[in-house]
Amino acid sequence: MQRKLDAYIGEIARAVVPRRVRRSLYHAVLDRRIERLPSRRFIHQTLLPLLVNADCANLLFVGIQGYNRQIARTCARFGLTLWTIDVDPAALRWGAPGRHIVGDVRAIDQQIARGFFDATIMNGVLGYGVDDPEGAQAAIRALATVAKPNGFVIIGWNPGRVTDYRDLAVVHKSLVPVQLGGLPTSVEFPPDAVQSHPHRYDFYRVR
Amino acid sequence: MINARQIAVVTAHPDDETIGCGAQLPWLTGITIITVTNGAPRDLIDAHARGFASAQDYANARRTELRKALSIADIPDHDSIGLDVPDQEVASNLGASTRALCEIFATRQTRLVLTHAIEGGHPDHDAVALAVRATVALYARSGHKISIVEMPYYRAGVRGIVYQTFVPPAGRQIRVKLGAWEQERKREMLAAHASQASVLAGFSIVEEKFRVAAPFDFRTLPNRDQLLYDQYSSRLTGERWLALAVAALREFDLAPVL
Repeated sequence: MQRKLDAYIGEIARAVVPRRVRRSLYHAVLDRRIERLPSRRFIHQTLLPLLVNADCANLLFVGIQGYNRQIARTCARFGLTLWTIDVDPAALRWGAPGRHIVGDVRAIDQQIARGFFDATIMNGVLGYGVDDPEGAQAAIRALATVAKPNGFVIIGWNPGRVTDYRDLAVVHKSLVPVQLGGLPTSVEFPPDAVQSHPHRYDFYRVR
Repeated sequence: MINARQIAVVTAHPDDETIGCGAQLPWLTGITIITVTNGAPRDLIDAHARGFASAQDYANARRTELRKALSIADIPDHDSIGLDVPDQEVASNLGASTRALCEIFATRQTRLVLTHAIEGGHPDHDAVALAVRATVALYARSGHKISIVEMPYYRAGVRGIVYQTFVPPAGRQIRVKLGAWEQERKREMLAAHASQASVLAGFSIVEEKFRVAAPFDFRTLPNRDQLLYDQYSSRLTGERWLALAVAALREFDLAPVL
């Protein structure tokens, strides 16, 4: 009965609501669902406070979309200065005002001075834009360059969905796994309503 | 070409003139470009991010970039004036900025000003808009009329940040579609602001928007209380902005609606 009702409502919505509005609503709902996932709430509730406790002031967040737009507010609340970068020009609307870079993370070291950031977070980029090992290698190298020596590089990714980046030479050469606060060197969340693969965060310091 | 000796562009940062009306500048001979801040915040975050050791080094670089951008539009150095207020601090220097603008407008016999729309996006943008309106109101006392045309930059929207769109109701706006030559000039001018290249990449070079400024009540917050600087930055809150705005208007004995 409920399914029939949903289908009926869907049909009416398709007939009455313009496609643009429908798409916008769909994305708004999806954004809400994603930002409520435990793997995303972890960033706001655990990761950012731990970075603040570790005396981080300047943070780079790679890959900004509607579902992680709240990160700017969280950073402001904690007194973190947030910079964002996304290759998609449409992501500009979610970026840090005046500190959003429309560009490729692999070339961030051409935009920002070496050793500037206290921490960089690249979440959901590997496999979602940076797809091949060469790209991952270049992205991690660029992040290790713009992060301070001993600064944090945090990589969020989906094991099983993308090639394991941890064997890349740049990881061994430039990064050291690190425990952040009371956390182990990585934290993994099981598959959820949106993602069919686990979501894992690996914590590193730059050598 | 238009004789624009009595027109001034008053913007907050080196690069705002290009974002707002860069494509029009090559046509406006004799126009005055007034840049209120030096583009270098004192906290050094932006300076260090771009590899500058001091705020002064960063400010010097931005001045050089501005000069280069304006030279593309054939605007000579003597028509570009910087008030040298530190970036992010116009709201704390409203009185001094207004007095400086009064002097420049008098010297240059300014009759039309292009400036920022009040949109709650960047605190310096709103503060410059206020300083311009205060200056114009002071001039009106002596019977001189100066018209204000405003340009949109960025503000908070329902879903994220909205760029180059007026706060609704937009009213009667002029949307200037840029031709290939104008787009090319604007692209070159944006590129001249090299230290800001990554940030400027998001701005449109397809059209520029203008509208005649409507009166604004400075006892209220812009953009239906949705301030980016309130949401994203701890440097200036909406409450503080209101206090500074009202205090500045009181200093000049001006009404809160300008």
